[in-house]
Amino acid sequence: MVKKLFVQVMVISTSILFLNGINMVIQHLAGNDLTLQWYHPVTIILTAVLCALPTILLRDSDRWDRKTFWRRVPLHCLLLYAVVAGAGWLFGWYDDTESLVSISIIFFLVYVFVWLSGHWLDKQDEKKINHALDTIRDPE
Amino acid sequence: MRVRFEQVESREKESALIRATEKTTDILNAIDLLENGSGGVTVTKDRSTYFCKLTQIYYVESVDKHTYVYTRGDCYESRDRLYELEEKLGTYFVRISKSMIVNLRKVRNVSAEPGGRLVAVLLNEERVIISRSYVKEIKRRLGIQ
Repeated sequence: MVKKLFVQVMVISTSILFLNGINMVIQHLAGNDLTLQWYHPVTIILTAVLCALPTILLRDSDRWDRKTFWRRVPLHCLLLYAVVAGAGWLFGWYDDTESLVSISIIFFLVYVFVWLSGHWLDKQDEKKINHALDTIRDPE
Repeated sequence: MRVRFEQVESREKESALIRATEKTTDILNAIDLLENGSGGVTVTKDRSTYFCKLTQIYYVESVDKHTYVYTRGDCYESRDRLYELEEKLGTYFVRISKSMIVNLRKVRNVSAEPGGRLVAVLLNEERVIISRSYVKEIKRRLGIQ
């Protein structure tokens, strides 16, 4: 579980920094320069730690049936959003509604990206395993 | 591949060394055959004892401290615990959850589900769940990097 939480912290903080970087480039090209404060990267990592905690909700997710999965994942997403929105308010990431909306969009993009990339990796494993099984399978 | 046979005096001295550039499926099959032969396990059903060949076993499951061996259409009980069978059965018998070992040779295909688990469809159309934490070992047994 500790390892899982650590991996989550790494993935979430990297994804937030990555998307924030893209957002800053877009804003720069649009003529609205954004600047990071000295404490922003640390708060992103701290937020990632807090975000990793609701992962306990997803413990043993590989044993769930589809119903349980689709019931718990939205709950997990909303809990995470509450953490991000709360951290944003606490650390002063947004000054107005527009920046709150911007952070919310980034959050949901990160959330979907993490699930999709995880599923894509699982699909790669699926292909490799099926290919290897083809070569050892007993005749029916 | 060049094969060299050297006779030794006793079974204890028997060993095999395969020198190859990579662990291909053929080599894995050869290792499986050398390590486990074409053996089997002793099982019981309705107070009768049977010898179940490895090639007949689809999967093994532990339920309430009892170990059950499943073939295409039958279910037998084994006196061995799951971890003992895991050591006995050979390369292609792999743990897929805390309570189950599957014979990879009997898996028709696997499919990834949201959440990271894999569902394996066996040759008899039964479905078994592969927990995410065992996928790495399955890949290793299949020689996938």
